[in-house]
Amino acid sequence: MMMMTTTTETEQTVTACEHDYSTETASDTLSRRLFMGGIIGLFGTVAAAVAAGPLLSYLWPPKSAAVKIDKLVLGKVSEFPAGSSKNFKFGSIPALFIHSPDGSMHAFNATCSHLGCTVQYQQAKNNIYCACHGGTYDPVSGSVVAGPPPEGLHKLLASVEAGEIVIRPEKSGAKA
Amino acid sequence: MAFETFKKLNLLKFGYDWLNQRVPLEAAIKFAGKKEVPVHQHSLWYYMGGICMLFVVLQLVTGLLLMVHYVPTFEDAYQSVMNINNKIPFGWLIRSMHSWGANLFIAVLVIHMFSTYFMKAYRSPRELTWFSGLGLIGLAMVFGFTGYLLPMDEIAFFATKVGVDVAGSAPFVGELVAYFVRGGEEIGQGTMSRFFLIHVCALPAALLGALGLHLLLIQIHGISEPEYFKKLSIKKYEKFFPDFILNDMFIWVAVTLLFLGIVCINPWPLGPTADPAAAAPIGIRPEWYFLSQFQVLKMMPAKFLGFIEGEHLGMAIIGAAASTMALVPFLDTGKNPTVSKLATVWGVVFLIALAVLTYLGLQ
Repeated sequence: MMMMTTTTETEQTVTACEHDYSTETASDTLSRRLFMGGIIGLFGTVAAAVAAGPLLSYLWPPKSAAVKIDKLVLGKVSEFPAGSSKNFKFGSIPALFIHSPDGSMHAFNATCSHLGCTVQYQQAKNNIYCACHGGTYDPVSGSVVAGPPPEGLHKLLASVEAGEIVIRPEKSGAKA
Repeated sequence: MAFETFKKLNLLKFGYDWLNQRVPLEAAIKFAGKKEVPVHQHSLWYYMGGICMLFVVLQLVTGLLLMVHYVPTFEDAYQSVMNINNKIPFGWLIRSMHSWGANLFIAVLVIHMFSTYFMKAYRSPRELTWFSGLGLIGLAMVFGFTGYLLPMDEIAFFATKVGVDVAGSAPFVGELVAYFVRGGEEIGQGTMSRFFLIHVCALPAALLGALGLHLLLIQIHGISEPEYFKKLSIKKYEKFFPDFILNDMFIWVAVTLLFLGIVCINPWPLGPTADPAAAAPIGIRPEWYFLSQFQVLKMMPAKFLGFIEGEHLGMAIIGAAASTMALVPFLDTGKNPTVSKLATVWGVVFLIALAVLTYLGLQ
């Protein structure tokens, strides 16, 4: 196209050459560029994918074995008068023991079923309360009384053995 | 003789020439000289960006100083912050400046965002400037969240636990994301290491990148003018150098003095040490900038329509509301006056909703 300003005769000759040579060259160059770009892109993607695996596995938190226990002695019965409660760790799970005003004893996995906060016993209101989003549970059954929790608390077994309060996992893992 | 020669040498000119041969200093000065700021009844809002910059600098400096004495381990973090507060000379001041600064930085960012929103500064060709600004707010909030854990007091522990568990309740990938962010099943050293690394390395790098892009785009497109100002037959401008920047510096000094006053009168507290076995303390709530989201989650029922999890619905509402801010440059392009008015009304509704939800979250 740059030969447009030359004489007609020359123009025709050169245009012919251009048509046969230059156009093809331009098209070839473009496809080579595209090809090289594609290859580089492909290699880049493969390299990134190859690097991502080891990087992610390096960053992934190592598995820590959950501490599972079958029995926990919480303390002497005399330390927990009726109406009292205690938050404690049962293995690696947060747990809650309640000595109800009526004398019955209950224990729960204290993880709120809403968003995982640790719940507490409110003696004045005789309920289990999650301070994060206001979820309220029954202190005997652990079932939801109010608020956003979708399900009740998981129960643990609380019993008195030789004057001590003993906590055990409930075999069925029952939910309230 | 040597002294005379030295005197004749204009060192300043020598320095200028030396630099100018290596970097386009002359061109930069010429560019800066041409830079103008529109003068109109809403010009005050232009200073918000500069105040944000001031807080970035304050946060970087106080953060670096805190790292001299802070120990990023699950066991020792609390004691090290206690030492900074009580034993290290002026440690309380540096820590309070950093904590107060984080909150005020986000407050000014939000003001800056809404002032640019109502001045329609998100419209073409400034969409990328708007997005980089939204990105900066997002980064500032992640800064706040990751930094909140680091003192390892009771409230920090539970706020982090709640925050990560919220992420964990997201459908499909939530649990994996929460496990990865937490660095394990529970909040512990894994969480501390990750949050510390993100807070002091990854986020500052990302912030400086996003801020650099934001400032570059402002240089490219110039300072946005409100629609009514564009239509004026006689427009008033002031030079960025030296007029606007001198005002900016005056405001920086005033804000710094006010900031120091707040910090000295009301130093940032440190609660009791975190007890992973304890229940979440009564009255626990996140920092004010997460309160609106917190309140939305709190208001959700356990199940919506019998099959949608309440927290999923809450997260969807929060996500949808936030995404309107990202979509507004594409919806309100300035060509349709009705859409433009709707965008303004939506901005007002958004702002009122944020304020009301934040207030309710405080109750």
